[in-house]
Amino acid sequence: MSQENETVQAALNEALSTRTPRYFRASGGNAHGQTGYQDTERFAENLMVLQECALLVGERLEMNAVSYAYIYDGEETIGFRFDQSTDPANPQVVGAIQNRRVSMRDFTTGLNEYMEGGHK
Amino acid sequence: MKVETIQSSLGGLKSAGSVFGVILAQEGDIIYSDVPFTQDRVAHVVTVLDDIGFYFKKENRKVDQLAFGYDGGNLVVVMDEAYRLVVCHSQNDEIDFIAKAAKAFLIDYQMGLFAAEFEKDQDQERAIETVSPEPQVITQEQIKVQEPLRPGTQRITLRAEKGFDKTEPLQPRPRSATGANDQSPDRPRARRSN
Repeated sequence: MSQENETVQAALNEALSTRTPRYFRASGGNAHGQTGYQDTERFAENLMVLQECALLVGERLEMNAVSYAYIYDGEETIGFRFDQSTDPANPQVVGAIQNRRVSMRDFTTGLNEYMEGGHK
Repeated sequence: MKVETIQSSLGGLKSAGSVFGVILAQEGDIIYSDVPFTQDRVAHVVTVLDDIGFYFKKENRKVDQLAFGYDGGNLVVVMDEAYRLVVCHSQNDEIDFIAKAAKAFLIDYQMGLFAAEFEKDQDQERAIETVSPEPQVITQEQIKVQEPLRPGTQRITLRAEKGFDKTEPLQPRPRSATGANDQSPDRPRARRSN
C-alpha cells in the first residue's frame, strides 16, 4: 500500500471512529474527497440519487432550482448543497456523509464552513 | 380517523414557524392536503414520494427523513412505513424543529388508528356476545302458541305425539291396483251425502 493510500485510509478510519463528516466536492460529473476512491464513489452515487429525488419533487411543485438535499439513512446523515459562490454556468456542489444522525441545521453549518474553507 | 381530527392536529403544525403547507399520504393516497398547490400537483408529488420510498426500500436503505431546498421554499418529508408527511416551509433553519413535530404527529396518528381499530374490534366482540347469548332450552310448553295470530286464525297447538319414534321409517301407504288408497277397515269412511 502506498503512502497516499495509507493517508486516505487513516483519514477515513478517523472520520468513522470520531463520527465526523467526510466532505466532498463535485462539479461537472467529477467528485473529489479525502477519504479514498470507494468513499467518494459512494458519495457520488448518493449525490445522483438525491439530486434526482430533489428534481423530481421540485418539478411537480414548479420549484426547479434545487439548493440542497439531505437525508437520514439509518444512522447516517447524507446530503449536499450547491456552492453559491461558484460560477452558475459550472456550479459546484459540496456534500458530506456522516455516520451519525446530526441535526440538519448542524449538517448545513458544517457544509457552509467547508465551503468557506473552514474544514480541510 | 376523522378529517377534522387530522385537521386540528396538523393545524398546530401548519401554524408553526414558517410552515405554509402540509400533505399527509399513505403510499400513493392523499389522506389530507392543505398546500397552496393544485390537487393535480399534490397527487404527482405524492406519487413521486411513493416511488422514492419504494426505491430506498428496494435498496434496503432505511431513509425516514428527507429535506429539500428550492428557490421558492423548503420541504421536509418524514416517512414512516407507508405514511408520508410533507411539510412546506420558508425558513431553511427550521428543518429539525419541523421534522420533530412531523414525526410526533405521525406517531400520534398511527396510535390513533391503532386505538380506533382496537375499539372497533372490541365493539365487534361485544356485538357477537349480544347476538348469541347462552343457548336456551325450549320446553314443550313454550312451543305452544297460546293466542291466535290474528282474528279468525285457529289456535295452533304443537304437541309431540305420544309414542312417536323418530327412528322408525315412515312406511308408504299400500295402494290398491286402482291407485286408490287402501284404507284400513277401522278407519271411518267418508260418507257421500245425497
